[in-house]
Amino acid sequence: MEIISPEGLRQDGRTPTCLRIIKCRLGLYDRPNGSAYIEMGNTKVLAAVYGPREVRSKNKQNLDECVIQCEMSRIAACGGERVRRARDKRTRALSHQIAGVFHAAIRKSKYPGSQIDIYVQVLQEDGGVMSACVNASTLALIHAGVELLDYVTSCTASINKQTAILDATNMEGQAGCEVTVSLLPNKGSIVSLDSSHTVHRDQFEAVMDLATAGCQQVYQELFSQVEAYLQDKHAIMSHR
Amino acid sequence: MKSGNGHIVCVPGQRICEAGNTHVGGEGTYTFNNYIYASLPGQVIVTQRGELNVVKVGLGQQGTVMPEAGSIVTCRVLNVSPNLATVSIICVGPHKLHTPVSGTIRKQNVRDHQIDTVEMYNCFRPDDIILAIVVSLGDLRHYELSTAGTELGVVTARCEDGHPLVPASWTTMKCKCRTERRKVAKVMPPGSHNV
Repeated sequence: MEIISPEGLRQDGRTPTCLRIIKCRLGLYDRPNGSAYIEMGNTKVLAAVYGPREVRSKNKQNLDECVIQCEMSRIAACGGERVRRARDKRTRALSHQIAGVFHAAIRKSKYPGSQIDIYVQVLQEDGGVMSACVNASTLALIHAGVELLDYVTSCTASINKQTAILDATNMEGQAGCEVTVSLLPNKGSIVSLDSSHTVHRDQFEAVMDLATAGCQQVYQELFSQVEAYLQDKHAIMSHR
Repeated sequence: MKSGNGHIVCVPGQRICEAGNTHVGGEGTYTFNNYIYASLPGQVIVTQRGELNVVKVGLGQQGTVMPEAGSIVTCRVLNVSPNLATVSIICVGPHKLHTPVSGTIRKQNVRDHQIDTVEMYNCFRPDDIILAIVVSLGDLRHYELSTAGTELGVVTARCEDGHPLVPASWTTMKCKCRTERRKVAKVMPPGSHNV
């Protein structure tokens, strides 16, 4: 089966530079300080943020900055194959990577001696899991009121027979590589770059440019959703 | 970004204005490359301080409150031992904490007079709600609290059978079945706290 049809469209009818539909919600739960849900096409992720709170283990405590921890898990039926263990080597590596991304975005010096925990749960995975996790965590952190330098938005791109494709699904990602880029959109600086397979050097530039442009599109999307959320909340607050 | 009633609402990373001699960044903002950026979501509030305009961002009262030395806190007693009582702080002044933090009351901080004769179990019992003042931030895990003073001490409590107790004197509380000993607080009407 061809990934890109002769008409230049993909399996789900998108053009190569088109994102999947993004839906998100802020504030699902009361117990965590912040929570968010994001849907990027068929990839669905929940994120919850606890903190800033007291550091649990004393030897990790840093009196100048806060400690950021991330834990990612997958539910058993999230992918095509049944997941035996919610947390394995892969999710642990990804959660370290997500924590690393937020080291660049959270104003750590504002919370000395405390800890911020990010819990991410993947409900359904269809390509771009890492970027959906980063986007969901950003929204949850914003909902929690943690001071951030900027949004962190993330997007994937892949390549298929010389054509760079944005926001690859699982099937499209398997054929080529999956390059994940995380970006501070207002600063334009890349905080994380990751590739699942090798990419040819000549193609790399095109893939990365496409992913970076995708991050800006994701930002616009998230921005408008947070704006709507804030105005809802603000309307409620000013009525009191 | 404008909301319905004319306030400016912003999100983290958004540039608010130029930083200079007239405008400086306050809470919820940071300065980068001579511009003030928001680091919190919420409403932009500009307050004048002398010749300076302080730009702040926040959602009003939602900010995080933490106990400070000298603040009056409401706590629930968790555990009473001969030398100290462990409590969880649930409110700081009128603000409720999102997550309770723990504190301790030492034997010598229970009351002003006759410090040597204090018996912790005659002052507090687990599950009492007490008012206390923060003495210091204590060690890493616990705030150091004190109930020395007439308006500090047990506010609401239940007897061993679960009946609500009412203050009977400075050291005793009564319910319909018995009299129990507590370090009772003389509760002031709200607004008249001046400790």
